Amino acid sequence: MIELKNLYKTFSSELRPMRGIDLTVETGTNMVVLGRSGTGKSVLLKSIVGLLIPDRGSIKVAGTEVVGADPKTLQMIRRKVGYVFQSGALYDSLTVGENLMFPLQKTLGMKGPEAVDRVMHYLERVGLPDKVNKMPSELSGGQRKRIGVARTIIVEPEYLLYDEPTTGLDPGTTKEISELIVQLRDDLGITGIAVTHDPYCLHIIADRIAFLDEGKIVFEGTPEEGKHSDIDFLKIFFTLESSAA
Amino acid sequence: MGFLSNGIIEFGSYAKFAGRFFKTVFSPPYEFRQIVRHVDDFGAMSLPLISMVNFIMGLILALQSRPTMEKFGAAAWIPAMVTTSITKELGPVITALLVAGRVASGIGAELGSMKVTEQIDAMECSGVDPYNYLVTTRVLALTLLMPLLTLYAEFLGICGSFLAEYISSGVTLQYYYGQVVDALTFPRVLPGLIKTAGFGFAIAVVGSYKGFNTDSGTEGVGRATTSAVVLSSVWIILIDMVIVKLSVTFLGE
Ligand SMILES: Nc1ncnc2c1ncn2[C@@H]1O[C@H](COP(=O)(O)OP(=O)(O)OP(=O)(O)O)[C@@H](O)[C@H]1O
Ligand SMILES: [Mg+2]
Repeated sequence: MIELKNLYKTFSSELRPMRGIDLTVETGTNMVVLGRSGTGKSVLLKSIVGLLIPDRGSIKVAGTEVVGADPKTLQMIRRKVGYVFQSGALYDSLTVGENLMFPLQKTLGMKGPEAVDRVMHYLERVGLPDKVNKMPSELSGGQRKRIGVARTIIVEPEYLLYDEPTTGLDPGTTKEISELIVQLRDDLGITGIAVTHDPYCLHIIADRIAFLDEGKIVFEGTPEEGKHSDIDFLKIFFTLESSAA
Repeated sequence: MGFLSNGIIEFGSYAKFAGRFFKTVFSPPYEFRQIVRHVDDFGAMSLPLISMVNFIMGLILALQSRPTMEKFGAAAWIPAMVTTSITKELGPVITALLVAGRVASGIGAELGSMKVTEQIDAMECSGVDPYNYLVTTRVLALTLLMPLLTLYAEFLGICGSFLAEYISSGVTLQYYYGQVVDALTFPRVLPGLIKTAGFGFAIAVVGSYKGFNTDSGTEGVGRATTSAVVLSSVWIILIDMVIVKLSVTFLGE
């Protein structure tokens, strides 16, 4: 379970992405966070793994407090919580294989043939085993995102944070990634928080949705409840979704 | 007033950033492979430029001193004078400014793009300290490499000056070599080499700082790159001034 309570973050007087955020995500479910561009969705996700430190409030991952945690605890939390970055964030000086090897060596201390097998296994899982010796610059945007997912799940985290996992992808890849997220929940019981603007992805993966506006979660419920809420953003969103479907 | 206080705050954050180097460099994990990789990269990046510029600079220096020295009947001193200028001042400073142009901008661009594409965040999520992995290795690599690059550059500068002298007066290599070796005294060469380690440190720290503090967007990376070169060049001159003053005071030259 991930519990966010009364989170605040201020960068400057006009930039206050979190102004009292409360949100609870149950184990084994996928929460989708919606919000306008630049409202602080990435800030919210980064706070959960301690990449950004909130000014105030509490974040608990499986009961462990993240805000103000010592480096050891933070390390433990980052091992449990994987982060799929908005841009893929592949290391561009390393090959695809080395990108996947990096967290294996650094996080799990794994080496040798066992590690190589695991890299190949996860590359197959995202359907790109033939790219192992390619550099990230030689991949398409969608392939980079898939490798990014593989690099995150290779250390087998219990929680996954997806920052716009399908933005900018073609429909086929969007479907594959969305289905992968569902599989990770169903097969491995992974708890997920996904930020997305993509109606199709939301439709497939969301157990619950939350709407972030002006630094607060102003709606939280099932997608069905969201569809019938009186919030304009959600109304427009779900109108688009049903016209797409 | 605002300018001054901003300057002080800025200087404070540089000092803090540089201070982390000394904390991380002596404690594990040691990233030897990264260090070797950077030495290799930085050397390859700057060698051709350094070679050409220093050789020609030595040549020009000898060429230009000749008429004046002849006027005073001191043409025999040209090798010693050129060697002294090159090892004490021109070799270290010109090499450092060239390396600043190539390497500070390279580091700024590389780390800056890693920052805006969230690679640095990703590294942190894997439990790796990005400072230790990315900055400490670069700073150490360049601090160690700079004195070697400078020695090499000074050697080429002296070769250039020999060529000029050979053409204008037919001086023999043996004679020239003897004059150069006589001029190479300990207090002349050592401060020059020590300060180059300081230059290397400054170049890598400034480049890394700019990279780590890049604002998002591609223009951010461009800005980081340019200001890394400008600022590290200023640092080189300031460090040089301090060391020259110290060496004049304590070593007498
Ligand atoms: N480290 C930081 N320092 C200062 N400002 C920041 C920082 N990180 C984010 N911001 C600012 O906080 C605001 C929210 O950013 P965030 O990236 O969370 O938006 P977002 O909701 O993810 O938007 P998008 O949909 O475009 O990805 C933005 O205005 C951003 O510029
Ligand atoms: Mg974002």
